[in-house]
Amino acid sequence: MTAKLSLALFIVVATTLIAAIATGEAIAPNETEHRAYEARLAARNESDQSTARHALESRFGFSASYDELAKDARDAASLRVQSRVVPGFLLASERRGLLAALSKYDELAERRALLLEHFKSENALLRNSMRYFPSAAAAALKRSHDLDLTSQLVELRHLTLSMALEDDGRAKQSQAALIVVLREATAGELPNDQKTAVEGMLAHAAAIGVHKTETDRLLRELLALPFEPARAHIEDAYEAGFARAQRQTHQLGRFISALAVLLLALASHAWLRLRRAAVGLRCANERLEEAVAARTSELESEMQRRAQVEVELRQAQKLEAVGQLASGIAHEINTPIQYVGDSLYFLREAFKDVMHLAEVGAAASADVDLELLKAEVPEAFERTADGIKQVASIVKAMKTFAHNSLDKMPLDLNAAIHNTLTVARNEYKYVADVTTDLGPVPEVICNAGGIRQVLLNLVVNAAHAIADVVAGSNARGSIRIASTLHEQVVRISVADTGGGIPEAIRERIFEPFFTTKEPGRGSGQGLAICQSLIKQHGGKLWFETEIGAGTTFFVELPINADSRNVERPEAA
Amino acid sequence: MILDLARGRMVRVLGWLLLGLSGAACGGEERKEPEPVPMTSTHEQVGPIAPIEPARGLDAGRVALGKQLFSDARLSGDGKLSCASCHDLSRAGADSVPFSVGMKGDALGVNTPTVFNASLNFRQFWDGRAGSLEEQAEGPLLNPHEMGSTWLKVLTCIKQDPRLTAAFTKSYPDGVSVANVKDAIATFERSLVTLDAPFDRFLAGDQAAIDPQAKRGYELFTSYGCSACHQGRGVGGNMFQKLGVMADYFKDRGRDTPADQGRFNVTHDETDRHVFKVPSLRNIARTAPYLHDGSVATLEEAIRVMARYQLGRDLEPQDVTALSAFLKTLTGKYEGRSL
Repeated sequence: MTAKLSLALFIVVATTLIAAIATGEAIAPNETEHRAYEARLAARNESDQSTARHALESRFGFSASYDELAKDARDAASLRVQSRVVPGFLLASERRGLLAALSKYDELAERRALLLEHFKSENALLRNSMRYFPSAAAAALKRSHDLDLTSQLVELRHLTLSMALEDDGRAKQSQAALIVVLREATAGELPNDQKTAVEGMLAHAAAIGVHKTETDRLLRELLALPFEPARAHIEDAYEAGFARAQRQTHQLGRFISALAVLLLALASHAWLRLRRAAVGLRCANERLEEAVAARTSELESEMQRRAQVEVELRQAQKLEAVGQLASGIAHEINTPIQYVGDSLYFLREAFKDVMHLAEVGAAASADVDLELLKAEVPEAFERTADGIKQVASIVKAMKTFAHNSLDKMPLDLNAAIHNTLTVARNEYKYVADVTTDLGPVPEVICNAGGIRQVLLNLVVNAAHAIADVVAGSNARGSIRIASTLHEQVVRISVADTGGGIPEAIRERIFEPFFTTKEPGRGSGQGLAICQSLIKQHGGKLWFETEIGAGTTFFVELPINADSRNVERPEAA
Repeated sequence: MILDLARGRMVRVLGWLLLGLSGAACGGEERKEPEPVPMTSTHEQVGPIAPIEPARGLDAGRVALGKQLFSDARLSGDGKLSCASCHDLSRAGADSVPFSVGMKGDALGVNTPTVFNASLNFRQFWDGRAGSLEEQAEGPLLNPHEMGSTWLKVLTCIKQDPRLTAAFTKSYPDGVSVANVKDAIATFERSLVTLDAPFDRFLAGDQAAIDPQAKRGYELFTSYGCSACHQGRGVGGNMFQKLGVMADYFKDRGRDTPADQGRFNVTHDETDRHVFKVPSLRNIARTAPYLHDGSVATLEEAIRVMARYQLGRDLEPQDVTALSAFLKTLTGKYEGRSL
């Protein structure tokens, strides 16, 4: 089996399983819900029993309060609402069937509520009259002096009480008939108090007749309401739905089990594959690690090589700068060498004269101008010494400049500026006057060669910028170099009165190989390397420029260019 | 779920098994089926009157909110009437006049019943047309002759009052709503039960709580049959009865108004004509005038009227005095003060 097929099968089985479980959740009878509903139906049943019991208790005088019956009615109403909240697992048709059965039942309950209210009223009246009837009868009998009437009243009392005990219909008929007879008999001639007493007895006897019949009719109907079949109907409807849901759930359960087994098989298969793959992966991983190690060492040596190239490049640029200066320096050296030569020639001739004098004496040698020699020779010596000193200083500056060390050492920046001006003198002396405004700055720990190279680049660039402007005229520009101390940094500015840097190229002047100079006057490496060097010292290099007014380059170096602030040399 | 079900079945099967076994062991003493309680088993007879118990389990926040609404006249149509205008708690929860005067200035059809112990009534209104206090609360509020308001007006009014709105939000998760307004008022009304009436103390065993005259009145109350209807905790309020059972009350009084038809107006059943909810006699001494038509000014006269039309007898003056003394012991306390 391919991996794709196995995965597809796994997904299909898993999805079906999830769907089956979800369906199961939906159709499975929730046990809690089921129990709650059965409890509700049982509570209804109990409420029905309780209603019947309380009605009977009221009817037969065991209870003189209707509070319990009123509570039964409240409970029945609330249970009726509750039983309509049917469990969710029933299907729509089952739900309809159950609700229809409930409606039948509710009709009965409604009928019962109505009967009950009338029963309460009738029963109260019956009990009221029943309670009073014996005394009413006694009062009437006490006032009756007529034997006939008395026996009729006794008969009425008997009929009324026996009717109240057991109503076989006949007693009621005779009682009602006797009441009619007695009413007619006592309509006229009786004394007032006797009449009232008899009327009272008759009224209550009649009331018992009416309310006994009515109370019992209501109670009989109430107790005979066919709740049982209605309840059975509800239970059947509900149980059928429950059984169906249970059956389907079990079927679904079997299906889910089968799916689960299948899923397990697929998972085992996948696991085996995975394990095989894991072994392969481990091998591949080991190989990969080796390859990575090899590549890393390659990269490391490549980086070393690049660093080396960068150092070489920087050195080359320095040599390039020095090389460009070479003709100027040669000229610088040539001038003192010429007058050293002239002076030496003069001194050789003068020495001859002096020797001649020494040999023949001063008087004899009239053509030797001793006075002249006395005046000129010391001067010649002075000039020679001066020239030699000058050459020596240039050579020293050159030597200092060509020094190629990356080590950090304390550097007197003001001295370095002077040194640079010496070396670059030929570049600017025909086009610009240099002024310096060097403040008291401390020695800076730095790569001295690098910083000198930066200064030289800036001075030479300034000179070239001015030269471009003053070319073909007698005008001269000026270069102003200043050094100041700002808290923990030394700032050096090199300002020229050149043409300024056009806006279009301002962004690009620190790019390597970018140059505006004609070939042979610069490779375009200068400012890029300057930037890199200053960054290595944790410093900044930037410029301000104005077209037609000139450019000022600023270098800022921290007094102690510690490694913490130092950016690492860039690989490229 | 499925496991649940299986477990449930197993538990049930086990349960039945155990039940069967223990049943067999105990000679079938224990049976699940509720046996019908035989009548003779009720050896204690239930007396007609039971004491009132304090209302329990009411949410204090909802009671307080309902109390505010109950006396808030802004809820009515013209902003002048509140529930408390007619159900004045300082006048025993009613208003001492035969008929209250509604928003339109006309007298209403029936006497205002007290709001105290209304929660004990099995239904509300004289004709029992409301099945619950919640249902009742809406009646007078929306009736154009009574408070003449609308739900829109009531809800708007409440929502414009930040304090009321906050109280609703605190007491109900869904804040201001029609159902919650009704619930708050009904909850407050459920708290309006009067406790510790002398007669309740007497029922609890304190023989000295009522005087001999009142005791005799109570005996008459039960023996004459008053307690056939006026029974239960409310001494009434749990059934309907026709006014004029033994004599025609309305013929003797003259006139027969639509309101006099009572429950008939609700059921349109001829047997319900002139049928009213039997009112509670709790605090009856404090809620004159009497009857649904407010036509009887004194308690003694009410006793005589009831005896004549409901019991079919005329009472001796000393009986009236005794009954009246008994009825006065039904005056209970609200918030510790006798009504």
